[in-house]
Amino acid sequence: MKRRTAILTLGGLVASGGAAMGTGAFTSVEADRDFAVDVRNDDSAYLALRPVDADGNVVGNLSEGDTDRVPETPEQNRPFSLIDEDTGRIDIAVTALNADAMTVISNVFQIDNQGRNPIDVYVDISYEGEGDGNPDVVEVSTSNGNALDDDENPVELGDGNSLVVDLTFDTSGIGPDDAIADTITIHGTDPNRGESQ
Amino acid sequence: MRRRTLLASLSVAAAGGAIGTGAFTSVEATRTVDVAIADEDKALLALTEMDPQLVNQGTRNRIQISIDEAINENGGQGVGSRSEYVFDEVFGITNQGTQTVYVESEFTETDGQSGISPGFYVATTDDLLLGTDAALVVDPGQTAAVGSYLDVSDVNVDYDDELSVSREFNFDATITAEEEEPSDLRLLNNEGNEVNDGEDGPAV
Repeated sequence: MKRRTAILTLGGLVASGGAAMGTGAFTSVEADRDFAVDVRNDDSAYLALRPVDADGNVVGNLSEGDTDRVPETPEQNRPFSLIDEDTGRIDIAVTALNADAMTVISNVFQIDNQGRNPIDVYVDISYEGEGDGNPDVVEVSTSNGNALDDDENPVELGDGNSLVVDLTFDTSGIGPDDAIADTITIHGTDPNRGESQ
Repeated sequence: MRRRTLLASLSVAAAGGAIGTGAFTSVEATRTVDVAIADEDKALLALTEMDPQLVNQGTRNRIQISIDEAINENGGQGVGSRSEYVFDEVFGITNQGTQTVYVESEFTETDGQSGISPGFYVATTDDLLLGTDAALVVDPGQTAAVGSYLDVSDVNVDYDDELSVSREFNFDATITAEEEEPSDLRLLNNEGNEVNDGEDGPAV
């Protein structure tokens, strides 16, 4: 049995060698290659998200006790943005808005393009929880006043550059029991995508 | 796997031979065999680096894809948690054989963690992953630019002000090229456009 197997193998090699040399035809090729990925904190990823102080300067991480960024109300006792030390992801929290009011919060967090190409950036605010949210309450803009939530008119961010995000909340008709938003999605796409060749 | 395929087809041929020539218990014959492994870029299915920052070349120019380090001086060292990343034109697949082939891919996690789903796609068609949604049709002599897609779910990375912390993931990426057209996948040509099913070769 063993010997028969050996013979069959031999024949096979001859046949395939001949086919490959003669015609270049092959039935199937399968190749395994290594593929390695590192997942990083929000401050060291290619698209980085960082907490900033009230003046818009990056401050390393903020924590719950950082009083310079804490509004110190019973409903908001932590900075507007901080990196969760367990998940490595930035958490943004604005939890003490007035009802029926327009609130502007400048310098909430920074978006850094730490990749190698320019990107067109825009931001989506959405509500993924139960029931209806009111994500339209939130407007997103850059600290120099450009809308940042219009996917038709994204803001270009060169590689190595950053922008600071302001949030504006219009709570007309919204009360304390109404959900507003729970998800922020940052989109960045190379404006020259597909043109490199 | 390649060797396994060859074995299977061979045994069929040998069985036919045996019927034709009568029964025998055992025979042994020795023939000269010339089997050689080509460098990655010269093989029947050539895999070539397109993005030198993400692709390393190992023994025999075997490509290795690494999305795990600084790709410039801007400081980014990897992908973020709960994100989707796409990298166009990471490597090229060239069909150096003589018939059209259908290329698929699949990934096997080799270090046991979970939380990342990688995929390959052609050109900029990152919503149709090869092997899952689509097969890539490559005619003889053609090259297709393949990109890498990463879907990162809730991977938690401890934050440390001092240290650069990361979670590492490693996969075996299996790239398969077959001459048989798959019936259950959409067919894309090397520009990422859909090819009419049932046609010979890609439509333009």
